[in-house]
Amino acid sequence: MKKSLSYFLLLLSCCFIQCKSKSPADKKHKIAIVVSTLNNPWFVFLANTAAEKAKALGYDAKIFDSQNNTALESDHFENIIVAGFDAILFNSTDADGSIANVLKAKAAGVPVFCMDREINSNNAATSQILSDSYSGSVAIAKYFTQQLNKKGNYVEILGIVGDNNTWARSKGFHSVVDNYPDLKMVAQQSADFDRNKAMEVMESILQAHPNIEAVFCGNDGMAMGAYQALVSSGKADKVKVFGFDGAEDVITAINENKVAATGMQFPKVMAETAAQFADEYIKGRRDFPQKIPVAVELVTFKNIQDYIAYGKK
Amino acid sequence: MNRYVKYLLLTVVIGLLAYKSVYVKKLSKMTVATDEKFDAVTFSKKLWEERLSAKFGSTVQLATFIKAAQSNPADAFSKYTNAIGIGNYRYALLKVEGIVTDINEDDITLQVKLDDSLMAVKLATEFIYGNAIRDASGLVDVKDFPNTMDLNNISEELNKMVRKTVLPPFKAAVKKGDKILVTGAIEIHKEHIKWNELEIIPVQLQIVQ
Repeated sequence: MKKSLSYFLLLLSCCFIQCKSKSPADKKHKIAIVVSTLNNPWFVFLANTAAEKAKALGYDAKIFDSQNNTALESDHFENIIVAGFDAILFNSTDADGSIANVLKAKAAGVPVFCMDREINSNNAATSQILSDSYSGSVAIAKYFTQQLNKKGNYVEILGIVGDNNTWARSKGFHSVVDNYPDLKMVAQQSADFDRNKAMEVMESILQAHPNIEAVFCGNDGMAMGAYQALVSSGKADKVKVFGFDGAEDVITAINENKVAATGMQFPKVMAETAAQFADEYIKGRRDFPQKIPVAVELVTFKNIQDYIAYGKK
Repeated sequence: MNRYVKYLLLTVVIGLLAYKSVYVKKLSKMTVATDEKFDAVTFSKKLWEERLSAKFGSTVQLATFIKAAQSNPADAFSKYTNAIGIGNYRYALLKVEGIVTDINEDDITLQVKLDDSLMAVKLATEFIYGNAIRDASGLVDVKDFPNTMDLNNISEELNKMVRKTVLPPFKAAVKKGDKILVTGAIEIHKEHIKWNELEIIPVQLQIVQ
């Protein structure tokens, strides 16, 4: 009997020790960074910056790559919830398809802070910190119209059709250029934000429409792909290329007068704001604006000296 | 007989459940319902007529703003400018008095007197786009608009009012040498201020002589 009582007391002590070691005060909080793809340097920069900021704020941080696949993103969310992460910094794969994943996290009490890519829900994420793609494209379109003297044939290469940024950029662009009837869009095709696809799309468009003055691309990767196609066809000097992002190769290309302009996004600002918000949430803050636009700046040959890749000097 | 009654009842129950579970509506009606959530045209018209014009009397002079920004930029930006998002662009609603020195296809050049110098300022007359008026007004709060497109549409409607109602009579009447009074919005990059590239988006225009 005494022996049993001793074993029981020993077991009870172990339980107390175990419980103490897992008390919330001693536990290091964890933040997950779920990013649409790591196959694009822009998103690598976004994810790494978010992770660095989370670590600087005292959290463990882990990056999950969704590989542009909403099903894989869903698996990540399930694993993150089970693993007990305290917050998710999220760059979605699909504005509609990703809502279910965010709601799953919300139901589990895990706040989600969207970075750059919007989801089509106003009550799923805790806050969405988004590039003001529409206004950025308005600025590009104004410059585009001025550069073309309000006339000429042009091509538009769109990003992923399920992503809100694709349409925000396209709508912002058209809110200006469509007011000038002599600017004629001869082709509009998607290249999924992918450089190689954009090159193929541009090659095929050039066969059908050899006389174009400009091409507006939904991101810088596609702008570089389109530029490569123009170089191959000997039209690089005649056709003006416009991108969106502020990626390294396009900043270099603007400096060399190969690309006309881009919209500089600030992934560092978005990633750091999201990490900061997650920290504040964990510490008790609850009143976050649902969506915060982050200004996009027009970069041209005229002001290129003020900028470096992914931000300003 | 009982078996048929049973089947009939079962069919009625299943039919009722299916009827109550499924609602068929025309997609066009659903689209209309979504569009009706926010009326940017009415909102912007009301904002312009009732609240924006009320601010004209208290608008800062361009010369005062430049002087303040040159001596203490942080203080001047905090006092005179506004922006609804995060970033380097700030927007200010200003009053400018100047002489028309050039009338170009897309803008007008004004010679503006500062304290002890003259400055050339562009007045936009063609490319009225962007968020300058919306943000400079300080009358739109991002927390009130969870849909980003609503914010974009407010800008677009305010710009349309300038393009369609403010500019046509002014462009038809203005000539070189005219003295004009402008109340308008400017966009300014707080990290890279370029006073020589200042462009005013007009909200109110008056030819004095």
